[in-house]
Amino acid sequence: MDGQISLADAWFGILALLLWLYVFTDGYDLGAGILCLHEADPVHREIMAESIDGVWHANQTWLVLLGGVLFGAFPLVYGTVLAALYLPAGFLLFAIMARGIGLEYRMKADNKLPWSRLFGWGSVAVTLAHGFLLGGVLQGMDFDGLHHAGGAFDWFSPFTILVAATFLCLYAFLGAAWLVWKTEGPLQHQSRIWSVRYGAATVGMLVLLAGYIALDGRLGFLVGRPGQGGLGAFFILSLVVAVFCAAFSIRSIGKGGEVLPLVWCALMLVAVFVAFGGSLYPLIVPPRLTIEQAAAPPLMLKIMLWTVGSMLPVIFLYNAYHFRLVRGKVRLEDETH
Amino acid sequence: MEYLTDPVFLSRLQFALTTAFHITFPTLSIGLGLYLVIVEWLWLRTGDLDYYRQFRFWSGPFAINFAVGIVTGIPLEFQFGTNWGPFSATIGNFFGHVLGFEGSMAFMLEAAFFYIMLFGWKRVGPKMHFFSTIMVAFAASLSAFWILAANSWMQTPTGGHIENGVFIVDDYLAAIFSPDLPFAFLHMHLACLEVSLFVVGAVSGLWIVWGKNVAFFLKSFRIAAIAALVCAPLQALVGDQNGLEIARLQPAKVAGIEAHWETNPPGTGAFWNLVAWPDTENERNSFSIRIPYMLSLLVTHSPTGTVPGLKEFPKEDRPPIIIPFYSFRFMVGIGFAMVGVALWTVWEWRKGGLRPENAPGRVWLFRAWGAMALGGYLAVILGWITREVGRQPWMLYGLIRTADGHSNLTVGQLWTSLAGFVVAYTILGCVFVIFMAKLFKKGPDMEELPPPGHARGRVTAA
Repeated sequence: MDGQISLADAWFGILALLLWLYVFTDGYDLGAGILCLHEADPVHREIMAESIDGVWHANQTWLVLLGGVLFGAFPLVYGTVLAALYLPAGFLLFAIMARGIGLEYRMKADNKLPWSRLFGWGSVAVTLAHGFLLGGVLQGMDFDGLHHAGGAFDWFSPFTILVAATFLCLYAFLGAAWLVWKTEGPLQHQSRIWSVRYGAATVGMLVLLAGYIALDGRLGFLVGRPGQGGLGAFFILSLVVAVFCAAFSIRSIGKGGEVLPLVWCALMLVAVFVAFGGSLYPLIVPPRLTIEQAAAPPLMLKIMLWTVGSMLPVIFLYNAYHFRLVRGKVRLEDETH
Repeated sequence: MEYLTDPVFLSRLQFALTTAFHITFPTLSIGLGLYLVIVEWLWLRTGDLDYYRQFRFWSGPFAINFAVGIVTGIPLEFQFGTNWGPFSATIGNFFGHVLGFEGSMAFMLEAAFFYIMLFGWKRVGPKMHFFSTIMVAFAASLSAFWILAANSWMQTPTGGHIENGVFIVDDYLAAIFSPDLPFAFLHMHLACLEVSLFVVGAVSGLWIVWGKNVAFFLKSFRIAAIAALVCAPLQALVGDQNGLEIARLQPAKVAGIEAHWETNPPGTGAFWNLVAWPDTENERNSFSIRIPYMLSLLVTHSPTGTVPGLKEFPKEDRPPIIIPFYSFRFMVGIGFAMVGVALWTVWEWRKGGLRPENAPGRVWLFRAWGAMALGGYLAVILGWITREVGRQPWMLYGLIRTADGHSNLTVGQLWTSLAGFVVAYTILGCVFVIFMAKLFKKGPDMEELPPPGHARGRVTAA
């Protein structure tokens, strides 16, 4: 590293941004699905599902874009990591299907409960798959040429279970904050209670995760250069910021905040991303594969920057327009189906 | 059954099943999206409330179809990584771009305007709404363009070379616009239109036969009939041109599709096998019904044009024969049946068979439309089977063999995912059909009025 930001680094940044967008936007709509399982009142469940009905297609497309960018900019990662995580990756796809079907058919069905349950448990399943996939990458993997050197169940370990549990709390927190913004009356009140509960659980899980990483020497690469071990100052500092953001979110819920709790959640997620992404750099798949090694040839990265890169602002614009259209509280009689 | 424990075969089977299932949904989205543009345009132009209600009636099935299209499409993109890792690692820096374009341009556009089109009637004005409908239809076709660009490049990989196990792009545009693309895209796009038109016509026909809302459904049926009369014969021409191109670009594929073993000597015409059973062991057909000169005419447009036979190609480079041979013939048969049904419809129309008082009695005409709707889906799948099985043994034609592009997966993993897809798609397919049938049976809401801010509309007699 000569201190210059290379094209590959830029694409690593874009990849992180897209992953963040996916985890945040899909996180709150998955969270709303998870919380649906808690809610006994069918009218409330209807409002909860309705609140994400207009946005989940758009949120889902970040995953498609993420796949495309990973495929194009880091073909080596795409071609090796997904095969190594074959089972959880397949599980994610099934779960996305189950959830989407539950959500879509619920609208048209006479008996909504089974579809609502499918939507809820599907959301839990997608969340767990996210945890096992990202946990599976973070705990590191080795390759023999282009093939994964390891077993089909390597992704299932105490560490990845911990990550998956963290994702459940995190998404429920995001979902609750989303519902605080999008609903009113008793449901909003209930969402405030959920926010506080799951916000606290998320903080607890993050601390637990940091503790686990500190104690398990094999995960040293997560928080600094290979072999360094222990918790890096950068990692701890970023996590502290994340915990503060979560605290601010909960505080603003207490003060009757509407959109602010969700904004703080978003910032908390940024801090978590900075903690893990920043500590991992310059690796892309620990413990060995670096960003530079995994990247496509520079010319291709440049072309991609001009083409896909220039589409990104346009995508942000029309997403913004879309979200402006669906602004405001969700009321059932609003919708013309 | 050594196939059942062959990882490469299992991955191919999985990709084939998931793609065949998925492709039916965008096929309808592309055509139905354009149909929605037409009826909304007619609504804006004429103020006839029937067209507004046409839009509302067809947008319900469109929404379900679109959603299933999204959730079944995502597994395809990811299967390149999970099952075809070495292939992905080699060609990702071009192929991944194309899928990235599809995601960033088409998919996003579609998802964003889809919501406005469906639920935005109260939130936006007529112009913005119409614009959204156009964007949804445009994005669906754009999406098809990028997917076809990626697939055509696998058929005719131009614009670069493989160096140290990585595909290096020399000419970006040449790679995107590979020689196979123009006719492949036209052919597929027309197929989407045909399927959708026959679906619209068949559902309308059902209501006409029931004698309910006859005037309303004659409007959609006539639109479908006129468009089918244009599209079906056009498809025959485009398909023919597509065949010429493939004969030029992938001669081994054509030889396989036609079970054509021996190159015809100069000055003679190649026989066309109407029916054949190939004997690959002895490099001949066990039996065949042949038509002289026909193959030369078909693929070179000259009665004595040279058509290279399978024996010209090394054994390990020959495609399988039986599957492409028969899938191709059934596809072509369905295509001509569509032309026939379109002509029959015009003939009935001229005789007055489509007048509201006569139409409910034309049961067999509408049954034929129903058969063509199902046949259309079948033809699309058969066409893709011909195209992809005919490309074998190559994954990237002439450059990467299918077996070399495969990830290192265990048979256990593959059976798990394959069984998962079969179960999931069976349930998904059944639920989809039940819900579509329910929506189609429920019929249009003939009381529905456009929200304030849109034209008031009027009711016309048919």
